[in-house]
Amino acid sequence: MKRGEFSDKRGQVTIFIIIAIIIVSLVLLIYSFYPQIKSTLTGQEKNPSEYIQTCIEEDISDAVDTLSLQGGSISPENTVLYNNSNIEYLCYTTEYYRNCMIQQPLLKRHIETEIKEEISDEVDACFSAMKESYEKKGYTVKLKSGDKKVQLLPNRIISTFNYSLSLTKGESVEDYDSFNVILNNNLYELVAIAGSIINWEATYGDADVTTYMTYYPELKAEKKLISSGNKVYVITERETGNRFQFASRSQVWPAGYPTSLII
Amino acid sequence: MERGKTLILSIVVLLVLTGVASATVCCEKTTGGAWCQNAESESDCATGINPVTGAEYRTVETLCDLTGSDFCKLGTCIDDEEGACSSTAYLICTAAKGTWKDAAEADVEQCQLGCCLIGSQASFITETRCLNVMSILYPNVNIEYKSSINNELVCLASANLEDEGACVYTSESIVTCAFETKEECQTRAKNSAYSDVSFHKDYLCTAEDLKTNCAKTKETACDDSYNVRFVDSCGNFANIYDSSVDDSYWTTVQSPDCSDGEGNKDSATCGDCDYISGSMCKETETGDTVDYGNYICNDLDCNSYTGSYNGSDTGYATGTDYPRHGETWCASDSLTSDKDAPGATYYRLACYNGEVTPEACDSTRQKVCSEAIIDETSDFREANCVTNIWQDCTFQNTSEDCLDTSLRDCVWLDKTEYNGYYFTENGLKNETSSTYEGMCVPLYKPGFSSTDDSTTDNCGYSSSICYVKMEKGLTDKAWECLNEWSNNNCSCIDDADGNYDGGVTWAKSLNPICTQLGDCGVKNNSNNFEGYYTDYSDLIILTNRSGDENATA
Repeated sequence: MKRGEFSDKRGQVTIFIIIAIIIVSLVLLIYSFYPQIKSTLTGQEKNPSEYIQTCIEEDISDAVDTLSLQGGSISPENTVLYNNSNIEYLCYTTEYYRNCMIQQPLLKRHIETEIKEEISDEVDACFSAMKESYEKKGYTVKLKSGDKKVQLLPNRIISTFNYSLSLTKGESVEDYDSFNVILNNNLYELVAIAGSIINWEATYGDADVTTYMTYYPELKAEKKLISSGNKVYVITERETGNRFQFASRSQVWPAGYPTSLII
Repeated sequence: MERGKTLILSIVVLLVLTGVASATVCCEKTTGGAWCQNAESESDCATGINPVTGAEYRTVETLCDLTGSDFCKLGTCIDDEEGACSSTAYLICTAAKGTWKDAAEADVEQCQLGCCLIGSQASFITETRCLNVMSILYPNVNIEYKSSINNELVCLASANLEDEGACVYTSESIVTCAFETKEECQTRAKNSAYSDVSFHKDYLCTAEDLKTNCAKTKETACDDSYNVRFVDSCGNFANIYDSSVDDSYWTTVQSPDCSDGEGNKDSATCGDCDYISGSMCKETETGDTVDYGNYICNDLDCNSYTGSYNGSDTGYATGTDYPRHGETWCASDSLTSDKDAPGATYYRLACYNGEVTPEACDSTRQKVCSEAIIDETSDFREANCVTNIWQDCTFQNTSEDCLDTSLRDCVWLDKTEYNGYYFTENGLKNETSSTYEGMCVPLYKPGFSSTDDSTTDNCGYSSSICYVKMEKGLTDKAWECLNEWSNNNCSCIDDADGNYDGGVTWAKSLNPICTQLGDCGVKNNSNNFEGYYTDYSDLIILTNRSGDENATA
């Protein structure tokens, strides 16, 4: 081997390493600043509705995930621990032999309120950030906050924010008086089944989950016995894996002869 | 139902007999956070301000059922927006912003169900739900409510099945087609983007006479009823998949004529699935074979399950004997032959969508699993967790009462097989003069809580006292039992060879009775660990002639 050949190869290796470092750095830069780069390159910018949808969607999703595993409440109170989740009793009795008392009779409305309250601060923050963003782009922004509403509907959750927004730049004026954020989710269907199970527990003491699987092929319904009489119902949509779980304590029979009628 | 009524009466009697503590106050909210609950004392009730009412949490010295209609009285809570009703207390309902009625649900007008006709569908729901909710959910559909129809089956049968067929139209100079309802087609006709719109009832878009650009394909897809359907080149559903059909199957709406076993499970030729029979449309996976398309009536039976299954001779599911979709059966987690061993739990297992899910009945066997074959031909099983009514078994003195399955779950033990023993209020006795003929014990031996005194209390029914007259002279070191004394029970303190053993042999002889009552006596637990005697020191208690304990003579 000639000395010159060895030296050339070492030089090539060095060049390759430098090129590799440059490519990796570029990829990292593009990955980090992709949205801004895309916006600059395409000249597109999000309209206010898209901005709010992007800004708040994840918070709504997080709130839905949290309360779905906790019986419909963000901060559940009367709970049982199951799979590291504190799950709220939606129907409960302290006594033996008796059917439970429904604790959340208007479950759907309760969940809508819970989601609304959980995202409320974030919604305000998103609108403020959007205002600031447009102001930086030279717009004159008038923003007036309004009421917020969350609706569980079949296959979707619609969050409506009645905020009025006016964007002015030169002669151009854009007015918005309502913003809708839609999350594709089947919580409505799961909550409807949960309501039916709760009514069954309150009326007869112990719901049969196989009935629901017979009527709703797309659902899996499970009843988990936590301790004597304490049950957790888990309703899962087979295709998406979305689930809603809640606890119930109804018509409990004590171990042995009872020394007290109350636990 | 009859058994239920008697059972409640029996429980009340039992509770009186056992003198249990009961609720004395009704808490608006308990310290644990539950609303409207009975409690033993005020200390169980929450204090502070109710954030909803702004008033202090209340405690009333009576049962919640007896409180007034401004507190925890049970009534019907109505969701005015959703038209849903549920039975709950006034305070809970009003806190949730519901409308509360002091009446049972069946007596509340707003909760009465009627027939809601939503387009071509029918649903048996309340009027509010029909007119308010359904109009939001289905804004472009005609909705009609018929309160006169108060039977769900009649309601479902009265659904206005709308005409369906091929809606032919011209769009961008192309004659194309959509398979839809007549109403949808009429709506399309009003759209200026389409021209020459015509509806052809019961025709498929692929009918040659219609001369559209929609052609038959070999593609399939799942429809809303989980059947496999052919799809035409325009993306319209055609008839249910049947690989044996000719071109005429692509002309008009037809029912499939194919059949390839129960529910057409995993059929390569037929897409007429049946969820109840155990099949449902699903995209094909590796190993699935279909003549056309990528969808199949997936077999929902639990054929890969190998666990406990009573439908198999071996007690476990095999490649040929496995649970069918919708089947439920019983199992126990006991590793011994005794399904009622301490720690054992009965389970109800269910097979749905190819998956077996367990449901524990009760960790102390207050509920046990009951199974029956509901279809002898197919050996199809159905199981349920049912209440184990063992509580009053030991109070039954005749085999007739003991074995009355409408009232209790007990088994009769003839006293001849158990040394003449029978239960009394003071424990086991075996006096020959007694008219008792045996013992009534639980059929499913219950478990007792390890965290309280229930084991001692419940096993106490099989305790027994054997009085033995002993003699010791002034200079003697040991007590002596003399058999020559009439009715003396020296056998209670002697072993089989007549040697003094402190009552151990006698106590062990009663173990077979003791173990019948539940988690009592010495027996293997559910993990098959052997039980053992811990201490014999308290078997012998010295008394005086009057039977007083701790006597020295």
